[in-house]
Amino acid sequence: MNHYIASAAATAWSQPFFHHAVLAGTFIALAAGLVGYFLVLRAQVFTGDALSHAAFTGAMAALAVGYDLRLGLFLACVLVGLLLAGIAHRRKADDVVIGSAFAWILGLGSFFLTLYTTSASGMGNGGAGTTVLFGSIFGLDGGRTLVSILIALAVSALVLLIARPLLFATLDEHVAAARGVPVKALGLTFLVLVGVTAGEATQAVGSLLLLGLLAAPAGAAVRLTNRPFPGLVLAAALAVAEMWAGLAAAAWIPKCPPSFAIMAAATLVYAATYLTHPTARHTATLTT
Amino acid sequence: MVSVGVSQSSLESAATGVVQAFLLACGYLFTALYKGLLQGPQSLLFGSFLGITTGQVITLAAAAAVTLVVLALIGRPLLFASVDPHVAAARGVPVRALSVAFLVLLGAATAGTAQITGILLVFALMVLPAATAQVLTKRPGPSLLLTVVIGSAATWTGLVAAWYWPYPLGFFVTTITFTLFLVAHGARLLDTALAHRSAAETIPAGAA
Repeated sequence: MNHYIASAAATAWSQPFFHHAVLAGTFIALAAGLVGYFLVLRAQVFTGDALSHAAFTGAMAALAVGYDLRLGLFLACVLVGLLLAGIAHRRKADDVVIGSAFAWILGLGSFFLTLYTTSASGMGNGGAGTTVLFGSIFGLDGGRTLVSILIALAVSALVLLIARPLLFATLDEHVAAARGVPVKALGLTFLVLVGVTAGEATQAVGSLLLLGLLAAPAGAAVRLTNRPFPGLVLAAALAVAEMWAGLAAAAWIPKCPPSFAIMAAATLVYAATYLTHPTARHTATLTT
Repeated sequence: MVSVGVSQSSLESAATGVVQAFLLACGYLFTALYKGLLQGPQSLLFGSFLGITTGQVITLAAAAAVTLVVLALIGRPLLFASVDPHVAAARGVPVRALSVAFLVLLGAATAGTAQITGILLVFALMVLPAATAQVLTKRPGPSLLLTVVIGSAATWTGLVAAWYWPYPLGFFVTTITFTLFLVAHGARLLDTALAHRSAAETIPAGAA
């Protein structure tokens, strides 16, 4: 091992905040990779974008009325996940209507942010908005780390539990329904899991970047293999590896925000799949 | 062995998501590296009208003027190419070149809009007035005019509101445009419901 790298990074690597970040980040990335893979398979990447708006507004609303940020975060993400499931089940909703509603939700978030930063309790805490938008994985304390690990583990376990029927329902909804697979219930459960994962990812990389954490490893996995279970494992492994690479880079390079380092690692891997597998696009179209 | 087929559009939206998140992450890196006075990236993200210099106003006005002139020049063929690209291409309209020119204009307009509503809320000022106008009238000319009127009205009202209350400009602009959009939708629903009822009343009368 390179001696210089070890000594340069040793200062950050021995700190408890870094241990917390690695622990929480690993499990959050695991959940994001698993959920993201199905998100791409089910062509619901847009849901991640919508949830990123809701995550910010929920967290800010909770802060503005004096509750824990995470309460609003998870509540908003799960509610919006359910709402989107409801819209999807009814006739195909208008893209413009959905897009407009989420633009307004984000505007509402900026309102709550100002409300919070100008109120007595949040005086001088102007960084709260930036924390939610871009994450602060190095700011997790022991308690928060434990909670986020437990939630991420629960999400991962549930996704693996429903993976087989969910895959069936994703690939051929009608045949699955005819075979007695509860397609609707599965879709609803999945969107709740997406909501919880979005809340988790917001704590790691922030609400603006959670889309990347959901889409990049999964997108890369889909491009590398078209066999579902190896793809699922690959998506989770890539997400965890990218998280580690990002955290290591952030600890090593001064002034490099961890969120940026994680996104950069994820984007690099995703871009590399275009170089190594120029035929992936071709096979993807063939098997459609 | 099962193999999964993923639709091309899903792969594309995954790629879009990755690019979007990566560019935002780059923006975050740059604000972290920026040494000057920046009270967090919030005013960039959600809009602020404080501290705009005369130079910036002139630049913005010039960019807007150029955008409008180009749009006026290509407006007619662009409308044709948007409504029916195949027929337009058959008639010799350069559909490809027009769509590239339009995307350049879109980029310039987005850069301008972002300074008013903030980066994250461009959608509100870019799409909502146009969507509202199209709900109210299907004819391209009046709907174009209506879009401009709604957009300007929302911006001016937002500026006045942001002067009196401490909340960000982007919040006011999104709220005003979204409310107008909902009102327009409501009005159209009411209109079709009334038309249905009057039709239901007149048909038996005519048949009798």
